Amino acid sequence: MEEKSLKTILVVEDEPDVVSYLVTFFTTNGYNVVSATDGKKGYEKAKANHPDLITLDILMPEESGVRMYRNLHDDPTTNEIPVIMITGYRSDFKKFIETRKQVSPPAGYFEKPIDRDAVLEKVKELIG
Amino acid sequence: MIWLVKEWCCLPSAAVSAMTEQMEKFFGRELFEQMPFNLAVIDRDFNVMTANNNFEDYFGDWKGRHCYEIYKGVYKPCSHCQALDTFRDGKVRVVDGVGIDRHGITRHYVAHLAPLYDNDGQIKYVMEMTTDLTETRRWQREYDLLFDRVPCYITVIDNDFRIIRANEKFRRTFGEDVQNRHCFEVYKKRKTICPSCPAVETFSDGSEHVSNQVGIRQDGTQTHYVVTTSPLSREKDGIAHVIEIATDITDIRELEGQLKQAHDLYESLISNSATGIIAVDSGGESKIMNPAARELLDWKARRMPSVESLLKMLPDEFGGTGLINEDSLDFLSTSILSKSNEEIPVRFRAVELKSRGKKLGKAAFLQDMRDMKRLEAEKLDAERLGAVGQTVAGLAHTIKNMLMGLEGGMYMANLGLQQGNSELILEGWEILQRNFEKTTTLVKDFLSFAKGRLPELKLVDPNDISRDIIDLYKVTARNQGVELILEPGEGIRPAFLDPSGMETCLTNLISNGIDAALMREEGGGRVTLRTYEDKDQIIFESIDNGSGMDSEIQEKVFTTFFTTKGGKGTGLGLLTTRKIIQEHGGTIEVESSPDEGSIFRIRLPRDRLETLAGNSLTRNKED
Repeated sequence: MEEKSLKTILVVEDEPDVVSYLVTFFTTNGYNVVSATDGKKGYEKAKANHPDLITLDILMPEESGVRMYRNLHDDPTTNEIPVIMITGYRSDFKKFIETRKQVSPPAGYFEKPIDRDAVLEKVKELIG
Repeated sequence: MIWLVKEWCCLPSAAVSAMTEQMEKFFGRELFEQMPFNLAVIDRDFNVMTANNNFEDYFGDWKGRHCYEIYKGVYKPCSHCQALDTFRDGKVRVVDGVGIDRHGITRHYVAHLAPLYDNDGQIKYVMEMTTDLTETRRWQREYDLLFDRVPCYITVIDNDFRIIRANEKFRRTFGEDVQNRHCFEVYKKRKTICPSCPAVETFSDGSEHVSNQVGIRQDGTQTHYVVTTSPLSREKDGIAHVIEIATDITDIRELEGQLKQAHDLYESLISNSATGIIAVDSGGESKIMNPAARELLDWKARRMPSVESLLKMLPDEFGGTGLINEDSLDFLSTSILSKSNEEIPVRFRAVELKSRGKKLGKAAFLQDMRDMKRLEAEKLDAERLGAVGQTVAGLAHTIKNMLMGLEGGMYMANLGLQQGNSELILEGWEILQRNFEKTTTLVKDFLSFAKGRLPELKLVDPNDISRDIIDLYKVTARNQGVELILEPGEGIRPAFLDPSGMETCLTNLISNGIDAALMREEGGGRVTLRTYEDKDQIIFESIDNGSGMDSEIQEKVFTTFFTTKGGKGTGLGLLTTRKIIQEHGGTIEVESSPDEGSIFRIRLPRDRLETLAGNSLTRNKED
């Protein structure tokens, strides 16, 4: 019963070690975590699991974070889910993604390596 | 004093001989025979009384015949007999006649008819002197024909410069109404004598003169002609008539103008061409050397170099037998030796110069390739630096991911320590270890990548490199269920390649191909390494039937630290490959479709490999 009340975060990240890190971090802080290693699987899991929040890497094989972000945005069943971008991509990408007309800016943007406290604060602010 | 008999034909022979005797006495037989005419004497009944040998030779036998029988071959007197008129009025007549000679051939002659009187002052006979005009008439016709039809303007002018006669061509050009008009008026529409008139000179010195003149035709257009004036007839005061013979050279002048224009055009093109142009005639003499050629060969003297000097400077093929077998020779990359002994890379073309199958000589075209070679070397450098630059940009992403891994490992190990959770400590430690190793590998790979070394080019068989790679991976691939196929190209000449660099490239491509082929869910993975040559490019293709890539990934594979292998790869393989290929002056491209496979294609242009080999040779010499 307690498990069910936990908020779920979907971690989309192609580096297995980073996945382990984020899963451990969010789990330790009281969240239920699912993960996917590319944009395609990430979108499928978002539709299947209806997470409360998604963390998304940009540069991934198969399907990039940008495409997944657009798919989430275009899909009425997923477009309400807040997305935090956690990426090693150049910082000017933040500006780029935030100024696109086709999609709304992401709920949060963090560059790797992350400031854990800041990430946690943002997550709490978004989903409690 | 003439003694005459009444009826020649009716006279007894003694009387005839008496008359002949008298005639001969009067004329003198000798004179009678020597006269350069046909002489005959007729009586009022048209009987030929006597005739000289010339007459007989011309008209035939005359004895006992009437004049009309002899002259005209008819049997009754002519209707308008002029001799009859002379018998009647005693006047001397000169008439043109046409008759037939002893051979029956029609003859033109002029006949002088003169009366012969007896002692009583009566006209007893008429003497007919005929002179043949047949030849003269023919000459006259020929002359008229020549005068009118000759393709020149001919005029005869008097010493008042009035035209006495003009031929047909002249009249057609300058107008029919030219008779008695001043030549300067007809020729040039002038009112006064022309300032440089050759006729004036001929009238003055009696010699022939020639000059170029410009006239105006009756249609108002200009005509250029060369006129020769010659004295035609003289009077006691000097030359009375001058004949002017003029040849129209308007067309020739026009052609000359066009020729001059064409010549000026070609001369300007040749002298302003940035390509060096040299021409030698069939006699082995240098004829053309334009400023670009002079500069290239550093030839400062005004005179042209001898063919021997040229042969020393130009590529051997110019003097060799190449041009005997071919009309032209083209060398994309060769060199010349300037007068100051500088070896200059050029594109060289030689052609046999011919006109209507006749050899005129040969020409050489030299294109200075120094700038081109320099630009090419600079471009190669820029491409090499560009590859490093792009790589550095991509490096940040990889390092950030590794830092994130290290941070994650520390976090998990610390958390495990805090919670006394040995599983978490172990997991964190493993992550730390893995990312440390990855960092080490990356640093090593990057150092080797960033070294920016120049390829060590050797003349090798491209097929040999491919074969070595296949041999190296065959067993590994087979153990993983992937078939490795070598497709060596036929007839590929050895090329300048860095064998170790190319092995690195092909190793990367083949190992990527095997990884991709392993991802096939249905098995049957296959990787083919194909080598061939196309349009002077050596091409290596790695073809796999693996998972393939969509266009988004294809765009990224060569430009970022990109890996589809999760934690296994540093993402440097294709970057390194591209860099080595660029160092070879080549390119690498990818064709791929998701779930169908990928083709990675390396293209190495031979001329760039040769340039690089040439540069490295120069560098080695300098070292």
